[in-house]
Order: sequence, then C-alpha cells, then structure tokens
Amino acid sequence: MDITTITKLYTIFNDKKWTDKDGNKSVFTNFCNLLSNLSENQGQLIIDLVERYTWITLSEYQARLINILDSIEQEKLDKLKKITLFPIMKPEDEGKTKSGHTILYMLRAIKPLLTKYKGIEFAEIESYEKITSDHFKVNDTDSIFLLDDYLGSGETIEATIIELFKNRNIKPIHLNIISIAAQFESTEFLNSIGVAYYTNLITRKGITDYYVSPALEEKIQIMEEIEKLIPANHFSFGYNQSEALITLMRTPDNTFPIFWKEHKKGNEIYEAPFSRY
Amino acid sequence: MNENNLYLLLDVISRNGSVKILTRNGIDFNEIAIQTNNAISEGLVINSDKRIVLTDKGVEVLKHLALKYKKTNKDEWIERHLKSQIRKIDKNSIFLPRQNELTF
Repeated sequence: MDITTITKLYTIFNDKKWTDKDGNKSVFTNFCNLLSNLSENQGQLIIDLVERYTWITLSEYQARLINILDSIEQEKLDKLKKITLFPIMKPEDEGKTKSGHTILYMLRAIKPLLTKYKGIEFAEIESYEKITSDHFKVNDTDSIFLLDDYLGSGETIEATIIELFKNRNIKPIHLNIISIAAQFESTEFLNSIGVAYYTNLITRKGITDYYVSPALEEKIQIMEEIEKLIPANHFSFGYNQSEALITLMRTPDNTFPIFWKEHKKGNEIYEAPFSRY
Repeated sequence: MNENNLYLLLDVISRNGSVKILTRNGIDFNEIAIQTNNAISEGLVINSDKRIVLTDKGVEVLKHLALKYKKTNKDEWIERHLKSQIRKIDKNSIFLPRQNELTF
C-alpha cells in the first residue's frame, strides 16, 4: 500500500469526524491492513464504499433518539394517552437480548427530556405472550412503539408485526416504528402495509443501488474477489444480500462481511475494521 | 517525527513506494497518515492529481536528510528475510517446502 491510499483513507476519517470516535485508531489500522492485502482496484472499491459508510456509536444514540421522537407529528401525539414500548425481535429470538431492548432501556432515561410527550404514559412489554394476549387492549388513544437501532432487509420487522397482529386488537394504525437507521427495503415493506416509521437515516444497497451497468457488474465482481479472502463466508454481500454500509453499536450482519469478518492472506488472519465479536 | 523517520517518509513518497519500510521501522498507519498531513501543512508534500508527491521544498529537504540518513551499506538497506531461512542441508538432499508455508 502507498502513502496516497493511506492519505485518502485518513481524509475520509477526518471528513466524517471518525477520528473523534472511540476506537478509531484500531478501526483505521484494520482498514490499512485490509487495503495492504488488496489489489489496486479492490482497494479503490473499499475506499469508495468507506466514503458512503455510516458509523454511529452508542454515545450518539441518545441525541438521535430524541431527534427521531421529536419528529413525530404533534397532532398524532395530542391524541395519545399511552404508548407501549416493544423491542423489535423475531419471535424465536424472544429471551435473547437484542438491540431493540437497548433502545427500550434508553427510552426510559430519555422520557423526561421529551417535552412533546408530557402527559403520555409509557408502558413496556418485552414478551409476545403479553402483547398478543386478549388482556392487552389498544384503543384510539393508545400507540405501540416498536423499537430497534437498525431495520435491515425487513425480515425481522415483518416477523414482529405478523406476530403482533395475532392480537386482533392491534391494527397498523396503532404501530409506530422507531429506528435509528433503516435500509430502504424495510421502509418499502412498512409503506406497503401502511405502518408509520420514524428514522434518522434511510440507507441504500452499497453497490447495486449506486452503480449502473457496466460499472455495476465490474464492482460486483471485484467484491466477489475481495470476499474470497474471508474464510467460511456465509454472508456474501451481507445477510439477505443487503449490501449495507453501516456500523451501529454493533455492525449488523446486513453489512458487507469484509467490514466485520476477519480475512486471511497467506497464513495470516487479519481482524476486520468493525469486528462483531 | 524524528529526522530519520521524516527522511523515510519523504523517500517513500518520492519513489511512490510501499509503506512497509515505515511500518517495519515502528511507524504505525495512524502515525504515517498524521505525519503525511503534517508534511502537507509544511509544504513538503502536495496532493497533486489524486497522488501524493513531493513539492520542490520537499525534494530539497529529502536531499538534505539523505546526506545524513541514506543507508549506502547494502547490508543495512537490504534486510535479510530471516523467517525464510532454513537450516543448512546437505548438497545431495532434496528440499520440498510445505505448500501451506509458502508466503509468496
């Protein structure tokens, strides 16, 4: 790798203010190790993707959540007396701690700071059994806020909503999806079923939604070559081929795996820039 | 950055060479990036046509530092690749390296 490549990467880190984030030095070092192991056009693709990459740390969650919750229409909030918070999770993941739980707990701390929500009671439910029970009723003054930090391919939010609709009281009008970031495919799904969503950022596929033919085919081929460096790669182009370019508190598996899975060159294993652990 | 490392940095930039020589001298990637930015601020280096190159001032500084730091003894500037060295074998022996141990 040459100095020009390092300088390009450092300029991106500076422009994105990533140099202010905790852990930025090890992320930078791991990116440099990766670039050292790539050919020139492979490295250029990674640099291009890093330019469009989003890195949101846990310390930024509070401000972003307040911003999202404040963006909900006043007339909608004026009608509400009670909001039930529920973490977005697949039914089979119930019992595990998912990112939606983190958002739920953060909302407890943020609630006193939300001036638009004075007089609205907040309740929390974390089990499907309770929320789908006949005892759980919703009326016109109730809303359910489904929480997560990231909506990826749409699979998890779809599974959550399908399960909630087993409670016949719950209608799309009662649901509001709160997520720090969302892949475009998720928002398309929510639009199609008429469920409102509020997010800080809508992301697109990193290669497919950015390049046009013939550059598109070329970039896909380059990424396929890069991914050959990943041992046992079961997430080619990200879970469900999401092609995401995002790291939050944790990097979602929707993100291109070269950013979060270790790679191998020769006999040596190299840590990923944003390891998932 | 000490003068020797500045010499190495400017030398790598002038040759458009690999940064490996810098990392082998204990300068990590973050430091290389920061010092390159410093060199840009000091007018030794510019980002010209998407490539980092030396300015006239940078060339002069490199020439000056080379008098002091350029290694002319080949034992110093060609490093022995000790990890590839094997123990001495008899001239009639046939040596077959393990494929998974080759790094080139």
